[in-house]
Amino acid sequence: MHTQVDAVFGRLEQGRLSQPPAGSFPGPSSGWEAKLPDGTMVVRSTLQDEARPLIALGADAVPSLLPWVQHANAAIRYTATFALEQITGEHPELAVFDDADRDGRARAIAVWQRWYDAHRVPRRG
Amino acid sequence: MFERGKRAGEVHGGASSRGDIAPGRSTLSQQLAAPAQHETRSEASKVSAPERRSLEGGASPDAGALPDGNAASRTVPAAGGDISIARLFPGATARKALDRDGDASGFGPPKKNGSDGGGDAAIGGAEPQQAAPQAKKKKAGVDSFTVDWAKGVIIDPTAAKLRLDYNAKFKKDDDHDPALAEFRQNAGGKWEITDGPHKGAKGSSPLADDNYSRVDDLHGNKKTDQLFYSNDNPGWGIGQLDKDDVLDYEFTAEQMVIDTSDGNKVIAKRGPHTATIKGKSPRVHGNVPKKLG
Repeated sequence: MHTQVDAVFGRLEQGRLSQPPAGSFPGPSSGWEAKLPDGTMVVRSTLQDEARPLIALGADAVPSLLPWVQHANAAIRYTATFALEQITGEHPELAVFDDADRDGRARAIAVWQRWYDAHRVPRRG
Repeated sequence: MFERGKRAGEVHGGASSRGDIAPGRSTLSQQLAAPAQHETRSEASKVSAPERRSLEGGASPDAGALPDGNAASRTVPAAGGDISIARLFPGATARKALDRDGDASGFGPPKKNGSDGGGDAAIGGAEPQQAAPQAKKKKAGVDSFTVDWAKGVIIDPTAAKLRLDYNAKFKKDDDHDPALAEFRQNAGGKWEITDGPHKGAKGSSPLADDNYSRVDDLHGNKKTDQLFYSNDNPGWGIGQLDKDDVLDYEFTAEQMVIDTSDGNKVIAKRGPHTATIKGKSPRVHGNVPKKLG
């Protein structure tokens, strides 16, 4: 699971966005703008689109998503946060664009971690 | 394309969407919230003390270590005096009220039971308690709330954007708590390329909640802060249109401040307002600039 999650974020760190299906014409995007680490400008709805494959991974992706909540780049943090909110239904207090709020993000991580602990299916040995 | 207005719970079919907090129920978020944090935006099932599981690291940066290394030991501060504290520990709220009234010591003059003072706790069992003063219930309030519509900041033949800037200042006094105020936006629109290389492409979306909230504060303000700022940039970015695409785009949005302590009652609303972008490059913007509020 780590590999799949890290692959998505690794791509975003390099400014490589998902490509729409060939022949399709994209509708309007929306939301605030933010820069990916490479300087590529993206909008909120684009990051939500990028989070969709992560959301599709379901609860098993939660541990792999958590470290990305503390990423130095706000757009990366938002993508991880959005995916975690959608998977868990938990929306902890979080100021995504406050770069210095590491403690706040740590508290949010704790919320999602506890959700994961409570909902994961025990593995049978 | 991620559909505008898709609510949280609809994406995966499991988790509930924001703004649907059942009264009287607390979420993990609430239980772990910082002292000044009040409401979270979702409902989640209650969790019994879970097995502590260390965060997994991996190749990613800054694995999310907890500040105290032990989330399970975190306690809810007793001095919050807010909604979440009241839900979790009703007594704490009463105590807060006593503190406020200058009777926090518990060593004041003895209170008599009944009008004749003849009560006898030794005989009658537990001493009847006076009703604790109710803590004043705060609510959300708005000092100012503006929405500025304008042309998009990108000027490019292959782009077509609008720009909305949201600024709010929430009341903070004995009756009002900024943390109880939330921001919402309903947005929708329709578009069509009526001529040009992408002729025939079109789409529409109904006016619906597009999941904006105070989490989207671009200045890093927290919910306990009085200020809120965010923006929206609906449309097409650089390279998404052809300069010869003849566009017919209408975007409609309304913005609201709601009071989460009062059933998400709308306490301030701007719009709905509709702006347009039409034609091929250079395209013509309609109904902007416009300042609401």
